[in-house]
Amino acid sequence: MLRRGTVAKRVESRSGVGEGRVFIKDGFRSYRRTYRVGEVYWGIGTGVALLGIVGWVTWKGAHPDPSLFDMSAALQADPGSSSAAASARGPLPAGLAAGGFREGKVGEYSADDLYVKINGRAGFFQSFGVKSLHAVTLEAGPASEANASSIDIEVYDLGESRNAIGAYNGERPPGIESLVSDGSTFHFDRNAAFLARGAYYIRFIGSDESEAVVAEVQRLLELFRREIAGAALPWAFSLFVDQLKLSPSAVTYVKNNAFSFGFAGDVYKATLSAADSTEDMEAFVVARADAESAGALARQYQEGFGSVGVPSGKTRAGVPLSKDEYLGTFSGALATERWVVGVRGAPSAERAQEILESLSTGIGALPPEVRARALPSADATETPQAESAGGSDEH
Amino acid sequence: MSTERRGSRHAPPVGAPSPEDLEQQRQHQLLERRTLLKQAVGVGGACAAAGWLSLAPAGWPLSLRDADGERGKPRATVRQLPPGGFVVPDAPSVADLGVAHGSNISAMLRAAVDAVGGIGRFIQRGDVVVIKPNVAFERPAALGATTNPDVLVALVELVREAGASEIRVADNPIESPESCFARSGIQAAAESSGARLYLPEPHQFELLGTPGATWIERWPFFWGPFEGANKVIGVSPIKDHNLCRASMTTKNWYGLLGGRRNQFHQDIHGIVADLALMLRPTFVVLDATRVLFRSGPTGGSLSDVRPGHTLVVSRDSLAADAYGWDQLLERKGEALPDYFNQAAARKLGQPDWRKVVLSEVNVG
Repeated sequence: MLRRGTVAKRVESRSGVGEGRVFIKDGFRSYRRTYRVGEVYWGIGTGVALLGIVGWVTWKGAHPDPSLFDMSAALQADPGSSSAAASARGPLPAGLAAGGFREGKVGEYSADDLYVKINGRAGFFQSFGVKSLHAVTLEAGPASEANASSIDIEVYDLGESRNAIGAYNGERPPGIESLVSDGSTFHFDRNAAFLARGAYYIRFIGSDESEAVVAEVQRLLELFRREIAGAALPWAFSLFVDQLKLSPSAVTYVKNNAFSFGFAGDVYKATLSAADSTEDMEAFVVARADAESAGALARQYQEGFGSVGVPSGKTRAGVPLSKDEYLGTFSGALATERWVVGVRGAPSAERAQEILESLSTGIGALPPEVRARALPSADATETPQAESAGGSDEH
Repeated sequence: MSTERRGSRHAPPVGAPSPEDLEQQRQHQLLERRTLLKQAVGVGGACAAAGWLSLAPAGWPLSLRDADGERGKPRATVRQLPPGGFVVPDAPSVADLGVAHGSNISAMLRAAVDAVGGIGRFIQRGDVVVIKPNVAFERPAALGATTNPDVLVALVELVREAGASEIRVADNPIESPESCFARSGIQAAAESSGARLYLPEPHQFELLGTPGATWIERWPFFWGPFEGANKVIGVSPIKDHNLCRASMTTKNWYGLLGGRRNQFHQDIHGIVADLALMLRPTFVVLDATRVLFRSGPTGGSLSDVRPGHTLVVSRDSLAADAYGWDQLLERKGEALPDYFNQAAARKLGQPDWRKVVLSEVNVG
């Protein structure tokens, strides 16, 4: 009969003789062949405790805390950490929420992780040199409710106003006129509003067309127009709008791959055809650092148009024109001072010549202040083919 | 050493040892030397063996050398989807492409499925069915960037009526999955219809082997919902896409990939063709109740969306997508995106929908 605390038997080896030991020939060794009753009790207790833990983990796994699935916290702004929140807000003005809308959590994305927010569309903004995106959702109903009205605000920092204008126009559907006022270019579109202001392109996307949502979108648009610093419209607007009397809506900026030419970057172009027209005629202008550079670029455009057409005479100024093999339209380009001007898709050689002459005259008439800021974009001229993903002239 | 210690325990010798004692001592010393030699050989052999195991180049027999630690890592299991995918046998007497127009989504779906053989052709009692909607963005369904939740509800009901034992709804949006599922209405649709919702969690991703794929021969895959599943249905909206021009049922499988999948945008047509190879579904539903005809894939304005009033059902993703390209995105005159050609070259479908048998119905 075993009793607690007793050692039933101990086998000891004293001599080590006959064990073939190498290093310890005659040390004492114990070989336990029995155990204490107390040890049995401890073993059983430990086993029960482990089983209890396994059972608890299993039960908790099957009955998770409901708060784990509550997305309210994730969707709402953290009312604390105001200084951190202020830095994470980027250009987002404070106090966006109003009326029945509640501000959600601000998301901040760089050019490298933009795809996390707008996978598949990131390349479009990267082609305009996007620096960052700040996004926030205003929700009218309970967080995570599918049919609650909401407004998504996305603020793209594109570094320069010309890029903002280019991205804005790249997303503006054909036939929708933009409004230009006080450094802002914007339009409403049913449930949404789109704004280019300063270096920022901003989208306000309502979940529906309800009166409350549309009113809130309009309020937000005005708020951002007040709070975001504006900038003078890019210099080319002076040429196309002031000199050639075109609508500001017709003017846009293409950072890279204009007209599908790898060399054609930093291009301002204006649509000369009506939205409902079958024509697709455009005038364009590019600023260069000097006349020599402009002359070389003009020759590249002439060769580019020539590669997709056939020679079709020259203008009075001796500018070669090309006739598109498939469309039958006329294109050409020339250097004037340190600018390159051109036309693409003109219905006749005479019309192409007329537009080229207007552009040259317009350049000559640019005010000194405009000429001073009509400079080439550094990044566009350095790497004209670097960013082709989601080409900006796809739209 | 041991002799001295042993000697110290006994009484000192008295007088000169006898010849017998000397002989015994000599014999003992011989025995000890032999034992020592044996033991030295044993220890030396063990050291040599250990040295071999640890130092011999990795390719040599019995070598355990692991200079860079790679051999010691656990080997990742590479999963495989069933050979031939989740397709059901051909049924020559029924159409390949079922198209239903109307406004009653449930009736449209039933009509489109009936046109290609009925739900009983695809789903049997006890099946475990994975349904893959497109929940890619945190957008309300009305903006057309995600699958219409009403179509999902109708599909779950139809599959349940056919006797499926379990219906799983899964997608892997890159942006906050919880928000995407909530804002798109897909979470509510899945829960209200009794389907089991799978949100992506790291432990549910496994390496998937897709032999013959260009980009995803071995790539992390949202495996959790596919564990034990024997039928797969894709249900995707029809969208303009900035990069691949159109996102429909074939592109929809992109949402099952894990890892840094955005890198595939460098060859968007190649990866979409790989997706057609990766997953051969039981059937697909092209949800054209809304058509995001521009500004895709994210959309934003209701002006970018037009009502399509159409559902397309087929076993052939390419045929369904080609129909969508021509008839629903209304790009009939334009060349198909290149992924159609790449997938067709691998015999993964028919990119000319006019060459398949079409059944078109109008329902209420």
